[in-house]
Amino acid sequence: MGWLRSRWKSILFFLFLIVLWQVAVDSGFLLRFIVPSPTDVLGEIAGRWDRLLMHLGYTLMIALAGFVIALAIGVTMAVLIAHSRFLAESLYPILVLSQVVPTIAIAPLLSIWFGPGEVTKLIVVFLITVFPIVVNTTAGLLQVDDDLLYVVKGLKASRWKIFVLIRLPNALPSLFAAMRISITLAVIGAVVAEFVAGSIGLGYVVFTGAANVNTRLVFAAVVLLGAMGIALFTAVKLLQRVALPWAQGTKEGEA
Amino acid sequence: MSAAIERNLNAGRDIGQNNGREDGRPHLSIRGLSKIYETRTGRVEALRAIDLDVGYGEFVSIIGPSGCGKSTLLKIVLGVIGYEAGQAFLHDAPIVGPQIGAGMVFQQPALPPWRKVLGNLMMPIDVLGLNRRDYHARALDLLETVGLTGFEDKYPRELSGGMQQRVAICRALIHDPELLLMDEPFGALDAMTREIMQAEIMRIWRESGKTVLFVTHSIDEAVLLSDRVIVMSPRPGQVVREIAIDLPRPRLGGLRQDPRFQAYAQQLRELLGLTEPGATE
Repeated sequence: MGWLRSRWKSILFFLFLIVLWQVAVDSGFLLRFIVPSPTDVLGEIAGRWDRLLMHLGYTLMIALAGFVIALAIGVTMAVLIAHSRFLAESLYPILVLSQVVPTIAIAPLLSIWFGPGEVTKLIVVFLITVFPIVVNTTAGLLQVDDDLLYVVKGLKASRWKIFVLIRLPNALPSLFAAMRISITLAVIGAVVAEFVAGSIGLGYVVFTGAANVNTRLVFAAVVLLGAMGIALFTAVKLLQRVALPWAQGTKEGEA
Repeated sequence: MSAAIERNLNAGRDIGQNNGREDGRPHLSIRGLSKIYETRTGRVEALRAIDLDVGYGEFVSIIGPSGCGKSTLLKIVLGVIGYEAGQAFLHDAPIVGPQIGAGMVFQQPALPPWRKVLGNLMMPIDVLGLNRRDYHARALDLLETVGLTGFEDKYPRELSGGMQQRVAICRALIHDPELLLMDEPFGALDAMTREIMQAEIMRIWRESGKTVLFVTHSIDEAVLLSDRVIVMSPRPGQVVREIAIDLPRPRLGGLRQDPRFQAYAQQLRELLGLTEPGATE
């Protein structure tokens, strides 16, 4: 209920926009075959529910699997970068390079190299999601309170103990911040990959729908993708609330 | 050796902590210690030829202008930074590398936010690889001495600044070091909390018999707490003068009105070059 009390203004405004959209189409102000009304879109989703659910499941799987791979490799890279100046200097430029080259532009190339299957798609999702994870986690591992470091160094703490007892837990809030960014990027990555490779997934639905000027189908897929993105983002937030109870109350509660 | 040292050596004996004192060596002994930092813009001489003795159970304050190397000196004693010349001994052992026999408190509490109060007290125990169970009762005792009983399961962010600093003091004492190093521990607290904490640290010191080396910016605080005050010069930090504070203990806040207290404060003010009319700390 507290949730409703704090959000009712934005919910009300959102509903107002939906109604406005519906009226604009029903009154003929917008052409129905170019912009279908909200009820048209809902009808499309209901009518093709089984097919759309299958596509949604596939996209969700690609996004999640790619995200988990990026998480594992990204955190490992961050640990290596934080551990050694040599590795930082050799890994960082490659990482930045991977970021300045738009993943969307090399996705077709990846499709040629690795085929139209899951491998290509997972690589695209990985490339798009790994950067925030590495950068944020590295910062969290390195930005440790100097005084706290002196306190434990005065107790003869080994590098390993400092890592386990201080650096790792210190990095968790920034890791979760990165995960919130990356989980939504993962959905984008999966859709982009499905544009260029394969014949399954909501990205593929959008692509073919647009090619056939089937705007109802495109809108249906977009609405489902939006819902998926919100659900994944919320899931990460809830996970953080459970995993890091000590890091609460600074972002929303107190501000 | 000053009367204050003598008295506190005796006080320490009464408490029964007399390990290593029969040979007459001081707890901390520093001779001709110098520290030079290499920075991008060149060499910075932080400390020059420091001589300092601190007896067992003594409360010694170091006072001096910002950047005079007071904090550097504490970190050298803790063994977390090195030094170029001179000698530093804890009793008869040269200070090379970290000193487990010293506990450190900084101006900021530096409590890891992911550990609850009890977990924060156990941090040194975890680092030292000791068994938490053996220190559980001691942790609760320490929390009781600073009035934090019942706060074991709170996160640091749920505590006030003064309470967090109390936890930091308990953390420095949990593994029972004989020497307590404090780097402006009350500098970030409001005036009222600060006075309460001054009374508390005097009580903890009296009851525990620890040796305390205390860095402060506050003349008032140095006179109130210390057996001896070491006055340091601006960089490169050198010992300008040592002043024994011969005032009766236990000392209460009202002692500030005592003319002898004010005479000591005035003497320190002059040594620190704060002699213009109306100038205070």
